[in-house]
Amino acid sequence: MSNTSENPNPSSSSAKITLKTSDNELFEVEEAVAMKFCTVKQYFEDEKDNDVAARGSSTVIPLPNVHSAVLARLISYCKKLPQSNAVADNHEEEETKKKERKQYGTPGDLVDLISAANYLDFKEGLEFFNQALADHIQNKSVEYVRKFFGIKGDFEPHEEEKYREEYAWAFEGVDED
Amino acid sequence: MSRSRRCSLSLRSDDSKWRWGRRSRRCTLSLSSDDSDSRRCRLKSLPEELVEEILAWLPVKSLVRFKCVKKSWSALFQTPTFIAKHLRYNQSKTKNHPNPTLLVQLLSRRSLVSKYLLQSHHHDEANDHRSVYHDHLLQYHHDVGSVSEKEGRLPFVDYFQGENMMSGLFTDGLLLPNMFACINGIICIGGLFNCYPSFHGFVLWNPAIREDKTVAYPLTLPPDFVLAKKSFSFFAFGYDQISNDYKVVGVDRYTMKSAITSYYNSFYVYSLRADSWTQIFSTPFHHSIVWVHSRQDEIYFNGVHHWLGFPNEEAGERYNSLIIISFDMSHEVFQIIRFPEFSTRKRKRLTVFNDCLACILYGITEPIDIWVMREYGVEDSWTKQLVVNPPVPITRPVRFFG
Repeated sequence: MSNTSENPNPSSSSAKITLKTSDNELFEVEEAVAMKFCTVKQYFEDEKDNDVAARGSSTVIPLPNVHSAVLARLISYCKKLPQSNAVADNHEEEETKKKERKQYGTPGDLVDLISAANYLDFKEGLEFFNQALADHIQNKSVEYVRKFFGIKGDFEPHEEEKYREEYAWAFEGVDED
Repeated sequence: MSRSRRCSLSLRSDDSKWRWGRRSRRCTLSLSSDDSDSRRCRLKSLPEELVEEILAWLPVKSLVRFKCVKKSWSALFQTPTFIAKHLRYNQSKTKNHPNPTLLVQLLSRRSLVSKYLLQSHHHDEANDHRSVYHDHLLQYHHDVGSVSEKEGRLPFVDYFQGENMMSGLFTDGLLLPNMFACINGIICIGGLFNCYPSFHGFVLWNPAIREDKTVAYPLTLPPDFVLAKKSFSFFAFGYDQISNDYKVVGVDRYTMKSAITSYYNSFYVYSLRADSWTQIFSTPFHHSIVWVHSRQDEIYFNGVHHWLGFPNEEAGERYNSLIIISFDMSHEVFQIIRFPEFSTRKRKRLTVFNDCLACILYGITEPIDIWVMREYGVEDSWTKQLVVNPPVPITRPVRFFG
């Protein structure tokens, strides 16, 4: 946890902004990083308009929907952002990117990251973590995906059977659950 | 005044700042179920719109498999919006094609049967010699467009179990093919189908989902008209970005039985979504003498197909009078684009240069001029961009690479 009330120079180019997570952790982040979160940016700009005198690094922006563990990951992703979202030039680079996307935790962590990126209106992050989760499920079975998303199948057994026969090629090479 | 309270309120209450807005709440509810398994599942908190965003990143094979997860998923994957999004996301992954693909016509024992095979190169880091093969394929690949995401092989091509063999379409009896095009992974091959009764038409083939569809060209001639002798029919495959539809446009030339020296054009458009043909009447060429010059000199660019043509019969004697006849796939309008007054009788060929419509002027032993229409549709913007001097006589320029 960081103490944020003592930054003497709010107008410096590396101005910091303090974010407060759902579990009351305080994160002091560079303004440039915080501004990638449109929800924070919007709030910050409203605040500036409303109360110019009070503007400064002592502003604490509460993020009641984001847990500290998730925010820490999002911030570390932000710092690598320029490389992470560049379009891959070829097959090798795409594979490297896949490996990189794998580093952000379990599928459950990814879901938390996606929810948080969505709440923060952080477009690049949302795209990145959506891809990471898609990488994870792309070779999974139908049963795995149903369980993962908490979905109950609603096809009649004979309908599903028929479909699986017709498109048998799509059911080949599926990973173990 | 408590600032922190004000902040929380403003963050929580302003839905417009929330990307998915109100719809996400409704969807959160619909994803929850009484099933105790899914109650424990933390993922039930993802709204449907977010799940859709995740699914749009999946390869085609996964989508085909996950169609049977749930009825609403199956329906979702077939909506034009989802298909367009899926295409956009997957195209944004790499600049170059992940699997270069070559469409070949096979040698056939029966000379009247043509078979096509789509070969896709699978990248293998452990094998150097394949990388060479890779480059080789890529050059040809530009001629047929791009196809990605094909896996496995079709059961009816068992005797071609090569490791690069991905998917194949055997169109028995497609003769005299006169159209090859590929847009967004959908291949279109047109020609005469030699079944009984034989007919002119085309095949639309989507190798990624292994589906194809054969469509016959309509017979649209009014009574008392006949197709012009020695006439050519022209067809072009295109994509309408506005209505997100695939189209084939056809141009036929015909004459009145009573006056076979006056020619007319008949234009018709097939829409894949509507699965039907529409004849286009509101075109200045319908009863005019404009005609398409050659099948060799056409180019599809920016959603518009371009042919070289002649404004009228008499002027057709002179090469300088060549014009471009364009068809806009979205607005379904034909237009004429004129060249500047070239002070040469060199032959012309359409191409795309630096993302602009361009024309190559060439002769057997003359320098090759490249003219570029810098601003699309503005005839004053034709500019001579480049002169190339081939050291030996040439038959014709083929195309630009790179």
